[in-house]
Amino acid sequence: MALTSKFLKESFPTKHSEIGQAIKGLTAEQYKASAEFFRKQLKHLIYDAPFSKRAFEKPKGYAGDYEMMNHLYRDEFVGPHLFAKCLHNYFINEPAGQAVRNRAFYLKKKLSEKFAATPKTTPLKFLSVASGPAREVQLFLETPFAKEGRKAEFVCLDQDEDSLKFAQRSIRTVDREIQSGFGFRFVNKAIKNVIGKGLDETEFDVIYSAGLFDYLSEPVAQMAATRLFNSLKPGGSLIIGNFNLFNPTLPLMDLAWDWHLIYRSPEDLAKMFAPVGGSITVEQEDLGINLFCVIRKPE
Amino acid sequence: MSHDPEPPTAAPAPEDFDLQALRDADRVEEIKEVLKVIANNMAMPLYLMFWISDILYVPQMKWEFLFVRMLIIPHCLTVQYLAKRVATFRGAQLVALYFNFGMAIAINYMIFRIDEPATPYYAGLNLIALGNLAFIPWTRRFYIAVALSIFAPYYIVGLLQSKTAEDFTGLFLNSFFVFSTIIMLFFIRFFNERLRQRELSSRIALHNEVRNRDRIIIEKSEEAIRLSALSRQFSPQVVSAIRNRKIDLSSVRRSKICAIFIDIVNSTERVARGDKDKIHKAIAMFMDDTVRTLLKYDITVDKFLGDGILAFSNDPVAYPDYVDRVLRAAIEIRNRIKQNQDQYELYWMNHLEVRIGVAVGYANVGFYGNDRYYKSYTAIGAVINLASRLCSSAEPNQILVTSDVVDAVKASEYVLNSKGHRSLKGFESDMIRVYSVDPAFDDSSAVESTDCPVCSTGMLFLDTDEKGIFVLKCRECGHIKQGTLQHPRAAGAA
Repeated sequence: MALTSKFLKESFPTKHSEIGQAIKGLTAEQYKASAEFFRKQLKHLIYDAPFSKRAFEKPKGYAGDYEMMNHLYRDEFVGPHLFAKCLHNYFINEPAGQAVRNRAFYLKKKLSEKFAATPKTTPLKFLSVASGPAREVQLFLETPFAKEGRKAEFVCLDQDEDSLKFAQRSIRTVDREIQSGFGFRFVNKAIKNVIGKGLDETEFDVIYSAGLFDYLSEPVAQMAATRLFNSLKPGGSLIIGNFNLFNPTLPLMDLAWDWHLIYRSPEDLAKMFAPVGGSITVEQEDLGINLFCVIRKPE
Repeated sequence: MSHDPEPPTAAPAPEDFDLQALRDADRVEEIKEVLKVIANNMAMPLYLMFWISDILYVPQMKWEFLFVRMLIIPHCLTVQYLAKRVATFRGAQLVALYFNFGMAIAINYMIFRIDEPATPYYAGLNLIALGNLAFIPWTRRFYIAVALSIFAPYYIVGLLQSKTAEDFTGLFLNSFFVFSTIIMLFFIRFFNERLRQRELSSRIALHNEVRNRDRIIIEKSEEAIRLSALSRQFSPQVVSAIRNRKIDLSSVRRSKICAIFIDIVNSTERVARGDKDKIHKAIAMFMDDTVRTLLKYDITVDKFLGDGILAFSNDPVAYPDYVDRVLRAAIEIRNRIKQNQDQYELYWMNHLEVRIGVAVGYANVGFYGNDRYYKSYTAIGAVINLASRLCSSAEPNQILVTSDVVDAVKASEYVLNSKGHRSLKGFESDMIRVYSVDPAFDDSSAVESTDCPVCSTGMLFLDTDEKGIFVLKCRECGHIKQGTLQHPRAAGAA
């Protein structure tokens, strides 16, 4: 297993760059034909890996569902045979997978910063939009801030009921030990409704969404950001995650998994969200693959 | 000049557009016209006028020659008689050949009688050649025959009568003029024929264009009528795709469809009791609300059955979310009726409610019917009956679906409650598990009355494209609102 994993880690990245070059400049029809050919030829090799299979089949209708996130966080060797196990582990340790794990740590850091920057007596309210397994909340519960006994509420919003149930179970499990005293709410609401009508609640200190805006076209992203921004309290922050233009895993995501995102540069994000209002800074996780546009509402 | 052998010269039908056949028919008329003019206006006056030269040149034979010249009159009359009755190109040429031969033989007789091989009377033959070879559209073979019929007797007579070197020299000198005349007339005829061919080609082209224009007008009119009928069944974008031949509706095919049947509750009773004008208005309003919504989701309206509407999705345009589209439409129709209830009650004189049945399955889909009486895009199959039976089985304001529908939709978007197993008429052998459908969330996909900037009637809705990206899209014209940023890798583009 170790040898196979080592081989994959050494050989795959080189091949990725070759794929990128090969598909560069193809027309939409040529790309479609290439993707079909690629999938047909490699189906028996790559889709046995559970991560790859779920990414391609999209049982929830979209690729990045909570179970995919869990695969990334669990970092396991799973699959029906040795090669599938190694391939699965290789895929979840691709740079994009690592960046997804990093973004949970980045968000944990932002939550911690908010706790540190406000008086302990001030109640805080956080919202995670398209929360998935809400890994950052679980991580945050392991920080000293969770033991201060402060009043804080974490709201997880997702359109996938299963995802919310999983997040609820995971957070409760961790919190049962920590006894943070935080409030946790899980809201099952369609993302379309959030974008179209906005949130019913306001006065959030931080609203963040890490894996949603890559699926929103520019007009829709602007509309969604404006809706969320309106639900912030003065001085609150809206943190919007988006994949950077530079993503080494992109050819694999595109060709093998039909997993399409909108990739944006820091400049794109700053320009795109400028009409929303507030001061904008663009940050990134350690690998620089995931960007975060932080829009701060004036006091 | 024309080809050999000669073509058949039956008058062509205008639809044939065979250039050669048309030209031959044209030439028959041309020969008749030329013979008439030459015989009446040229041959008879000139023959008689040239008797003056006989008086001067051969006074001793003036009465004999006058008699010969007078023979031209019955000859011309005979030729005109024959020309009127001739119908073929070959026949017309034979008549013309006979005319030439008759005129030439009279001159040749006079040359024979003068007994002078180099006599200037040979110029009469040249005049005959000028009048006939130049104006009559001979085939090459006839051209040679005519030339021979004019000049061959002259040479026979001339050679027989030549005795001295002076006679032969005179004959030889005349030959220069004879052959020059023949060759010159050949070229005149050749260029004239080419011009006539061009003219005819232009006439055919013009005729074709006029005929094509007529055909296009007829086709477009028929198409307009057909598309007008289609617009009652399909959404504007589907009609447009049919018009642009992107969708082929010519054959009946087996398709998996999602059928929806919508019916007004207690309509028979209301129609019997209510004011007919008001009931008419209520039903018209219901039809309008329902059909608009169905077409918005690209659902094909199959038929109206009284106040009931049968429709189906996934044909002629297939969508991966064809079942979702039907459920969304069903929910929206029910919501519209609720929203407009005040207006409905004004006409319906009661609370207007609908029942909706939805089923998924295979059906034969295509244009059924008769061209003469009625033809419409229709689905035929058990799935249609099932949707109808589900509709009958539904409670007022209930959307009832089968388990196949439940399996095919995104469950997170709906509240699906099992209503147990039911035995439906026509499906008694199976107990069918049915579910009621309600939306999980408010329908907020229409984004704050954002009008489509491309079409005048549509609105921008929050939708997902084929790559799963959320976009603002007009369901009327398919326009997707774009941003200002350039993303070379956007939406997975290579």
